[in-house]
Amino acid sequence: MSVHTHGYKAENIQVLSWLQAVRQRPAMYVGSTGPQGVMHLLHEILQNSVDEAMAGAATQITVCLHPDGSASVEDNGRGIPLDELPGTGRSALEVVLTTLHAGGKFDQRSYAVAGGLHGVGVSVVNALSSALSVEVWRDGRRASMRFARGVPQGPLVEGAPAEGSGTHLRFAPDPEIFAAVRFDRGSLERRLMEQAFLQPGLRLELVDEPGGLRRSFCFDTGVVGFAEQLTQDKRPLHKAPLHLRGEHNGVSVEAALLWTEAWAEETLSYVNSIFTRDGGAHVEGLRSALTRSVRRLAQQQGHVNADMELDIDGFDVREGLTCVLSVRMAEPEYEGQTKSQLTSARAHEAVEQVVEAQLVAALRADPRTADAVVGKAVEAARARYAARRASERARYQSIDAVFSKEVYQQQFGIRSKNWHQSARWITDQEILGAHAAAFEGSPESVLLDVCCGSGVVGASFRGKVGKIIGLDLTPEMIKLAETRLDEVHQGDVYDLPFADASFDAVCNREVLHLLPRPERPVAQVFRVLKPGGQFIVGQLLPYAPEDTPWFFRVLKKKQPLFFNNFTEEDMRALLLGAGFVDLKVTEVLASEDIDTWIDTWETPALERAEIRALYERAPAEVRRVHPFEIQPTGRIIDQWRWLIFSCRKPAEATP
Amino acid sequence: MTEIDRDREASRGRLPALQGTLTLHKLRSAFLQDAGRRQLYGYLAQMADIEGHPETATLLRELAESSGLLADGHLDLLRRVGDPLTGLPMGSALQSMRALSAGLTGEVETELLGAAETAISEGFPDVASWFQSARALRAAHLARATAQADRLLETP
Repeated sequence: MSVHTHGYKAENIQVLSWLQAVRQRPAMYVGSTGPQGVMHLLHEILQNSVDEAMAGAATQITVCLHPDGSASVEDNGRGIPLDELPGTGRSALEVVLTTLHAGGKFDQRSYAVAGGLHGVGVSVVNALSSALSVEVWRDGRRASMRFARGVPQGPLVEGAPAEGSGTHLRFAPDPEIFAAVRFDRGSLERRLMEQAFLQPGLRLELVDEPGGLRRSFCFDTGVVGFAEQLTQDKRPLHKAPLHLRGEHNGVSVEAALLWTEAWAEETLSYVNSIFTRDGGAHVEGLRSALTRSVRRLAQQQGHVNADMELDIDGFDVREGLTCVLSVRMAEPEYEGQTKSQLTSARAHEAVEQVVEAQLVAALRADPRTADAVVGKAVEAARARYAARRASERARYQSIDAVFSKEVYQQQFGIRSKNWHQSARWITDQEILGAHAAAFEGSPESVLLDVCCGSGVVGASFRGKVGKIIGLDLTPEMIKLAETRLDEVHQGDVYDLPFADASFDAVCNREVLHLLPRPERPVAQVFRVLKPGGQFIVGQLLPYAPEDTPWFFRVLKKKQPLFFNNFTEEDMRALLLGAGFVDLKVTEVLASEDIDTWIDTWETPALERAEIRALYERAPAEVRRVHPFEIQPTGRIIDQWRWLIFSCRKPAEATP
Repeated sequence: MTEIDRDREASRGRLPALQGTLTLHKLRSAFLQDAGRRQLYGYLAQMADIEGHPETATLLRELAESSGLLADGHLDLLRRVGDPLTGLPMGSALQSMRALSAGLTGEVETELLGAAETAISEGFPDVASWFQSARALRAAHLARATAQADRLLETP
């Protein structure tokens, strides 16, 4: 039967009105009409199959990406009911696919807990798909039905009798709705893997037909295995994740907690196996329980008391914590249909109760882990106090005292720990290569790498110059640089410990923004260069006036010693103003993992969260000029703009 | 204007001119304060969210929203006189763009530059850099507002 031969009845008007509502405002139902919206469709269908597994009815789910741009999900669950729904004249299958707020999840006899919410999921996917086909086998029957943009393309078709039960649903996101119809395989793989951890024993298979890939996920380690997997690149502070679980007022809570030597917190939270990206009531319950338990333990151990200046706050307790929190409950309430934030107060109370009771018991039973956890929190609190003091002390009051060696030594010396792992830019070969490529001197040249850090920038000139000398302030960095450079001296850039006209070239990267009165160190570089000598300096800069204040806020929160938010014009003026000539500029765009970059000692926890918020709420003007991506997992990848300036001291210049 | 004149004007449905009155001065400062409160409470709400106090954040957001309503209410009355920042006529798209351009010109050419110089002279290079960053953005805004005003003039 074609769509046009349907009778014109009240029922049709109702159907058209819901379809119209969904298709007119798709973002209300799936979050966006961009790539995340396309993935949301697939997640909705996948979630229905996961709900079958949570109900104990399915053991296997297969997700397939097809060459024609469609995707399918198949499970061996109970199969969507095929019988006629009393009073509708239509099968339950058709009603579920063509009616908002229809489904088995309102009835707690079929699903005690479910990730799918209010039955809107599958009908919304149908409405937003150019084509959808569904095949169900149950009770010895096999039947299928097809739809186009939510409208049935014929009646339920009965097939040959079938053994077993299950559902196979294939859909093609509608190009009229979505800007680009493409499934993100990486994101899908992560989703399947996390579901395999959250549903121990469930086998999830991914088949990427165009990519010729087949992967299977099945774990029996649950949230503990998940936490271990998340921390495989980090150094844990205790042997195994703490496994906490219990039930309170019908809410089941399970958490795995592992503290590591990292600084940032990573908490992944789930409600009925749905990832809640923006946390909510359950995460707040967890945080409040963690803070209370660890503070109490620290007080009992005598680390903090009312007479001490030091106090431990929630950020200190969560520093370096990796946590997987899974909550199962009936009728969870979320903010919006995308389910990214839980609002159910019951979950807050349940998680708080279960975590506090279990954590205190677990730490009492394991004094070594308790010492590690409390020690980490105390260290974090001390670092927070020290960072505040560094920022206050660095705010010089006298114009002549522009620079406190002690503050800089303390702030940057500690960077030597895991320095090369603390951000991508440090060892990015393209950025380093652009510095070396700017060099125009002879192979016998003597190069000074000023504020050399670990010496990677100077070392990138190896083979192009005869000798590479480094200079840094901190003994920790000097030790690192000595493994790469020919000679390394200790000293500061405001008073370079070298005679006039000592070097053929000087290089420097990402330092001038940290120095008050940057014209003074630039004048020092000019002084130690021979006439005609070259200065190569790299700086991370904003793209345009529109992202300049935003960039200032991001950088200042990351580093309290950030003093100069240079623009390209500022840098040009600084170098030309010092007397340099022949100015040339090279631009390098390099991606930076912001979560890694802010996972450092020098960035306090509150500022870390504020930096994330700056990305999440960046104004449209900023987004237009400054490319960055917030991935579905919440991870932020920024495309940084590096400018490498090359200039010369005039050949006839006197120092 | 005497009190009797004012009553007479009011009875005819006409409000007396605000220009030059103490009431105008009070309305302007009330606008600045409430606009400031909206921004401040919104900022504090974000911090409360980060600290994990959602109820405090909600309270602050609601106060911010209501402060915004008050600020808009002040503007309802002030717009008869002009843009509270420049005193220039406001309301139509062209008037708004002109008032905006005038205000931004002052900021870019004088105020933010002066603020940066003060910060430098008092030993706060990071604050000076912040003012300079704000000035760069304001200069871009000025260019956009001027271009938009030109487009409006060309549109019949």
